[in-house]
Parts: sequence; C-alpha cells; structure tokens
Amino acid sequence: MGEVTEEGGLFAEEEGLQMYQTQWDRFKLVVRRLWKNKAAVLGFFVVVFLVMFCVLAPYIAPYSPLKLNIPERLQPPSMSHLLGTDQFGRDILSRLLYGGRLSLGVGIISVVLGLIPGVLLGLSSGFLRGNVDAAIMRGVDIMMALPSILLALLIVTVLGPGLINTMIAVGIGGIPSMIRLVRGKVLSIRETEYIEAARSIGANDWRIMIRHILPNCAAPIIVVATLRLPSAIIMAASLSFIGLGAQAPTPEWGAMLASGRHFLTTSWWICTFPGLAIFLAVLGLNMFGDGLRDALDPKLKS
Amino acid sequence: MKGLPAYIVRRLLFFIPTFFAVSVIVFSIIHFLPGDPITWMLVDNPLFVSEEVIEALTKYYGLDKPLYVQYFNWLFNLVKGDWGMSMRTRAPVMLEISTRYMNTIQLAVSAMIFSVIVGIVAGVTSAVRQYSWFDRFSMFGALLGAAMPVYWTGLLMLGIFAVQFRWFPVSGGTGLRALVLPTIALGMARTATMARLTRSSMLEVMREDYIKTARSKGLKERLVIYKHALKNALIPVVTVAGMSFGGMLGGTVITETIFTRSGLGRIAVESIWTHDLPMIQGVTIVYVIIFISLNLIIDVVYAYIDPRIRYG
Amino acid sequence: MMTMSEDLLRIEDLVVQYETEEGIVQAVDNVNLTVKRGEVMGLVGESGCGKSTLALSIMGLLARPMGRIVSGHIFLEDVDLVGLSQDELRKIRGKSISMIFQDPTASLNPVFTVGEQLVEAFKAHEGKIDAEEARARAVEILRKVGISDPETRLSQYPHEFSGGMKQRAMIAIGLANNPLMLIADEPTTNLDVTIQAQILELMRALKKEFDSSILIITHNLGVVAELADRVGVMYAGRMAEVGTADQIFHDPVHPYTKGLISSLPGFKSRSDRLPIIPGRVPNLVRPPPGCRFHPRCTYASDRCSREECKGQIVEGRFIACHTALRMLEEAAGDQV
Repeated sequence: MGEVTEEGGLFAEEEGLQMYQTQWDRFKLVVRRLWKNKAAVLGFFVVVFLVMFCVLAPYIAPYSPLKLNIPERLQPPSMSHLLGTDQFGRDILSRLLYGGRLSLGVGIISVVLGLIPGVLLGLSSGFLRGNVDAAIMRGVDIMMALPSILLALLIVTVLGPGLINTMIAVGIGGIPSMIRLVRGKVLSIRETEYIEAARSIGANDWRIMIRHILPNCAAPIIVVATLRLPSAIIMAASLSFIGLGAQAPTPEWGAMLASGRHFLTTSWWICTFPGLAIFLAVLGLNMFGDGLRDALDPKLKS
Repeated sequence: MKGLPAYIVRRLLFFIPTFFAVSVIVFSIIHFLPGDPITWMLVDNPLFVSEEVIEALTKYYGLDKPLYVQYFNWLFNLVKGDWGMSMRTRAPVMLEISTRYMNTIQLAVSAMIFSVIVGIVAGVTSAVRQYSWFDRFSMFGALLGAAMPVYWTGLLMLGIFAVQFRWFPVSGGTGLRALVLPTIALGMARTATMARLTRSSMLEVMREDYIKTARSKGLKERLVIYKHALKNALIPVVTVAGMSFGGMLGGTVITETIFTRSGLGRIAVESIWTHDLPMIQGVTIVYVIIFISLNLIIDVVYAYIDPRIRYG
Repeated sequence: MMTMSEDLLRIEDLVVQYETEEGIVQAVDNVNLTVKRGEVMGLVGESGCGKSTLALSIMGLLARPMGRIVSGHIFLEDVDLVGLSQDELRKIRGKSISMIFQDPTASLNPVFTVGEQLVEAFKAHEGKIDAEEARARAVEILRKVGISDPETRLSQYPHEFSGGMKQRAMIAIGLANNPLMLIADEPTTNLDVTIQAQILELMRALKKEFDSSILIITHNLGVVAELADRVGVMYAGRMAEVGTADQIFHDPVHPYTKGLISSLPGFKSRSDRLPIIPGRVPNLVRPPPGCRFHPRCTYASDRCSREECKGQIVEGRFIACHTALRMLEEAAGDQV
C-alpha cells in the first residue's frame, strides 16, 4: 500500500499559537488578535477611562464627596451639579468618582485575593494528587454547596460589615472555581512528556510546578480572572446595597444605590447614575474579557 | 435508560456527606464569632446582658457542653424539626422559614425557567439565522443584559413599570402578578448568558460531522436542527444552567429586598443585621438543602441528555 | 444505445467555488466524470485537490453560504442535480445516493443510539414505519455489514462501538435504503490497517449484494488498487486522467499520474530512493496560469504555462495533458 505525498493544503500559511516559540511572540500575537476585535477594544477603553477618572478623583471631582450641603439637596442635574445632588446635598458626580475607587478597587482586590490561594491550591491539588488532592477537592465541593452570595454573607456575619471584610468575603467566593480550573489544566498538562523529562533530570516538585506548569495555565487563569472582575464588582456592590458592605457615608456605588432607593421616583438621578456606572464597568469588562478569551483560543470563536 | 437510576443513586450518595460537612460548618459558626457568642447575639439589646442572663442562655443553648455533644444535639434537633427560636421575633425558626421558603423557591425557579426558555429560544434562533438582524439584535441585547446587575434592573423596572405605569404591585404581594417583575429582574443577566452560550454551542455543533451525516440521510432540515443539533448543543447549556442556579438563589436575597417580597432572602439579611444566630443557621441550612436538591435535578437532566455521562 | 442507461452519474463541466477570507477558491474547475452502474470508481488525489468538494457537491452538501456550484451539471439518471431545490435534493439523499465519511466517530451522533440513527434513515424516506418492522430491518442490515449480535447493538450508543464497527454502522446507514450509488469519502483513512482490509472486503461484498455503484474517494492508492474498476486522478481542482485501474496503475500517461505511481514503493522502480514529485500543491485562490501542474512537471512545454489542456478521450481514457496527448498522437501516427 502506498501513499501520495501530502504537501500542504489549500493555503500555504497556517496561524496558530503553537507555532510561535517564544512567550513574547505569543504575547504579540494575542495583542494583534485583540486589536482586531472591535468590541474588546471598546470595552478596554471604557474600563480604562473609568479607572482613570476614578484614580484622578481628587483632582477632577468638583466637590467633596462627603460634605453635607442640605440647602442644595435633591437637585436635578444642572450646570453646577452635573449629575445632581442627593438627599444630603452631596454632589453625585464627586461621589461617583470617589466611589469608583472603592467599587472598582474592591473588585480588583477581591479577585486578586482569591487568585493567589486558588492558584496555589489548584496547583498543589492537581500536581501532588493523592490525599492532598482528595482533601482539597472535598473542600471545594463543600464550598460550592453554598451559593456564593450566601458564603459571602456568612463570612460577613462572622467578620462584621465593612469594605475590607467585603473584599475578603468576595475574594474567598472565587477560590473554589479557580481551584477547579487550575487543577484541571494541571491534570491535562501533567501527563505530557516534557514533565516526565523534567522529572527525570531530577527537578523537584515545586520547581516543576512553578516553572513549567504555571506558564501554561496562565492563559485561562487570566481570562477567568478578567471575567470574574465584573461579578466581583457586582457582588461587592450587592453587599453594600443590603447594608453589609460599605457603610454610610462611604460613596461606594452599591451603597449609593441603596440610599437612593427611596427617592426612586422623585429624584431618579440618585440611583440611576451609580447603577449606570456599575453597568458600564461591567459591560466594558465583559467585552474585553470575551475578546481576551477569543484571542487566546481562537477555536472557541463562533 | 439503563445507567440512569444507578447514576441518580450515586449522586445522592455523593451529596449526603457533603451535606454533613456543610452542617458542621454552619454549626461551627457560633464558635467563630468574635468574643462570647451570647454577647454577640445580644448586641442589639445591651441592657439584657448580665452575668445571669449569659449563664442562663449558655445553658439553654448547651454551649457549656463539649463540642461533639453540642453538634450532635444540634443535628438531632435539626432532623427532628426543632430549629430553635429566633432571637428577634421569639417565634420558632421553623415557623418563620416554613411560611417563607416557598416564595423564595418560586422566585428562584421561575427566574431559572424564564432565563432558560428565553435564553435557549433566542440562542437557537440566532444560531439558525446567523448574521440576520434578529441575531445581531439579540446578541447586542444579550451583551447589555449580561452587564445589568440585579438591583439596578430591579430598581429601574420598579420605578418604570410599578410606580409609573402601575402595571405591577410596588411591594409585597404573592401571586403571579407580583412575580413578574422580580423574575425578569433576577433572570435577566442569566438569560443573556444563556442566549450567548446556546448560540455559540449551536453554531459549534452544526459544524460537526454527524450533522453532515444527518443531512446526507435526507432528513428534513427541521429534524437536523431540532433533533440532532439541539440535543448536543444543550449539553454545555444545561451545565451552565446548573452552575448558575446558585447565583439565582443568591440573587433572591437582593431581589426580595428590592421588591419587598416575603422570603428567605430578606430574612437572611435581617437576621444577619440583628445577629439572630438560630435564624442565620436555619436559613443557611434551608438554602443549602434547596441548592443541593435542585443541583441533583440538574445533574439528572444532564445525564438524560448526554448518555456518556451515566457511566462516568 | 446501451451506453446511455449504463451511465448512472454524469458530471459535466462542474465548477465549484468557495469564498474564504483570502479570496475565492477555485475548488473544482470544469471537471467531467462518469460513473457507470455497478462499477467502483476511485477518485484519487492529494489533500486539497477538490475530490471531497466534488463529492459534497453531488450530494448538495456544500457548506452554505461559502461554497457553491457555479456552473455545470450533475446528471443522476438523466436528472440534473444542479439547480434542484433543497427539498428535491433531500429526497435523493440517503435514498438514491448515500455518503459515508472519513471519521466514523465524529459522524455518528453521540447522544442517540445506533439503532435510532439507523431507523431514522428508513423513516426519512418512507414516513411512518411500524416499529417492529423497522427494528427487524435494522437488525438485518447490521448483520449484513458484519456486526455481531445486532439485536443488542441496536440499543447501544456510538461510544460503545469500536472504530471498525462504527464504520460498519455508517455503511449500514448508507445502504439502508438500497441506494443506486454510495459515495465513500476516505472510508478507511482513520482505521487501523487490519480493519481497513476488512472494511474494503465488506464494501466489495456489499457492492455485489446491493448492486450499487461506489464512488470511493481517497488519497491512498493502495485502497484504490484493491477495489476500483476505474480510477479518476484529480489535481488542484481539475481532472488529470481517468482510466481503468489497470491502465492507471500499469500504464499511466499524465505526468502527474506517472509521478504518483512511480512514488509507490516497490511498484516499478528498484532504486533505493523513492522518487518524489518536486514542488508544492498550488494555492487555489491564485492558481498558476495554464496547466495547474506545469510548475512541477518535467514534461512541461511553453504551451502548458499558457493554455490549460481541456482533455480528450483517447481509447476510452480521459487525458488532460498537452504533452501526453501529443505523444499518443505521434505513437498512433507511427503505427499507421
């Protein structure tokens, strides 16, 4: 039985992440792909602008976010107060800008807080296997038996309300899924031969984990973390909304929504703008995160 | 359905130890509290706090006994149906919960059904008519919908449809009318995710070889799409639906607060505020039970759709 | 004339194009091919030469909207399939012509039992069937393709079948309605070598029993040597040569065919190194002018780079090469 030589297909070129040798090349390819995705670019800039405005809050906010100004309370958007004032006369725009530092900051910090233990536990679980794996997975199953808000609520119960505790609660909520993700990736990479090769040279476990396995997990971890940011922001704002997160008079966006609730029909601007801000942040992050995911693995694109 | 009953039994056996582990955690909350648990519980009533009261309550709650005795007593009572007394209302926890849990289940399930049905229909239609205006419109809508947090959507809808147009009750109320706005508010984000997922899953499945085979058999296009493609495409969708149920349940907390519905969510928040420990424990347990049961149902549906799972 | 009803399938001047990001791909360019009743026609060529596209075009299964038949005719017993509506094509698919694909694992729907997928083939063309009767027929046909214990196998899922069995099941589905022709696209490529031989043997036996024609598409010349009566050789979307198996293997005329045959180990040459055809398959978005093979052809003349050879039928063979035709003419002239 003979075979005709198979040389090339219809197209001479083939683009694929696997063909590039160095990390830098891969990075450039990902950036190029991202750039082509209009939605992702838009999302990215929306988020960047929001973050920038909030970081620059002390310089661009027209008023102090906390100072009461009762005579000017409940004013609709106008030239002097671009987004209006709330029931205490505080300028909504300024509160929004300062509050963004809190809302966005809490989101980012909680994701990072959850990332580190999640990744470490996932690595250990997937790589070391045996009893360590069994124990960690049991813990994950138990944590996943509770809806994540409930878990956050329980943690806040024990620790008490407040923004820092919110960060911890939301961060912990993200750990189980991160562990599962990392563990899965580790399991699939583990059996590849180059890990065997590294072992045979005598590299110890930690070294293998960090230098060989971790870089391969980097891509999905980044995607998941980016896509988790919006949920973290929303959850932190939810906790503040029900009064268990940021406490008055902190201008966190969720808390602002809660305080404006009773003025919904009369002074709609108190609620609408913080909600709009959350919406924009989440939308931007979603679009960017989706684009990131597509750029890192084009097979998933529809 | 050969492997299906065996699969169900296996899942049940898996959940039981998990439930026990969770119960241990819920039980031990009392010991994670800062300071003395009794003082913590009475934080809203500092006047009551005195040596005698603390001693009496400690005895009443059995906190002076060794840990494992406490746990088993607590567990035993739990199973018996005695879930203690609410610190706040002085009514049995069981009573408070049993009058409310149905409302919460109603809300969570209806939001689930809403998001699944609307999401799948939108997703399949978009996939079948790829690039049509329906496709672009619904995907754009899904993008926006996914970003709207429950409380904002809820407040907006409340303000517009309930207060302004008076189509729906503003607060409280049971019954179908009162269910509409909360369901949509709660389910909206999930609907968006479902729609996008269904669409991409459908598109992927339609490219598979077995769809080519189905067409080459001369099957009507409708059969190819709704029988061959859909069943496969729904597999990841059901998984995600299941996983997102937790979020749905959690979302009832916010939704009930916004729409002032009587339910577990609101009680959960109130009991945390008032440091009403027995209530907190009771509500958590109920939530966990509901969550586990519904997850079990989803797992079974999943195994029904994809036969390969039954032997896993 | 007997020849008219002897031809089951007649492809005339078929042109098929695909739209891609890079441009329009001329996948099939003015191809002519005839398959007679009861014969096995092998269609060979390298990956990307258009043979699968040709097969999909016959069935009307081109991936819409990217692929389309631009012009030409495909006559199945005097009915032109090009231009039929999807509805009409559907009546033919699975009934008059069936197709089996390369990867049996991917070609069977994992969430339905094999029995269901088989019975579906009956139902698609016969409407309501009595369940018992359908079952009996399904069992019968599974037995015919060599699947043991067919009654149990009916209610099993594809993942419970081995690779070879899956392909047999695919063949069963293909032959379920006793089609006039079975198109097999790389039927053995994904199978183990030993299973390959079994499947080929099965196809040979079934051809006799069902009296169908088979169009077997493959890049594996050995498979074709086993099974085919006649062989068509495609290159870069065009038909290079068509002849009987004997002619193609022992007396190839087109330079490309010659190259293929001589690259088979142990076939004709005794040298230590296998001769290869230099160069690469052309990009079908911007194919070379004139003959598409000329950049790699040792016999290429000036004319070849300017003018495509449309091909002629000489002594029952179709040959599309200026040089080859000229040489044959001269040889015939010599004999006069």
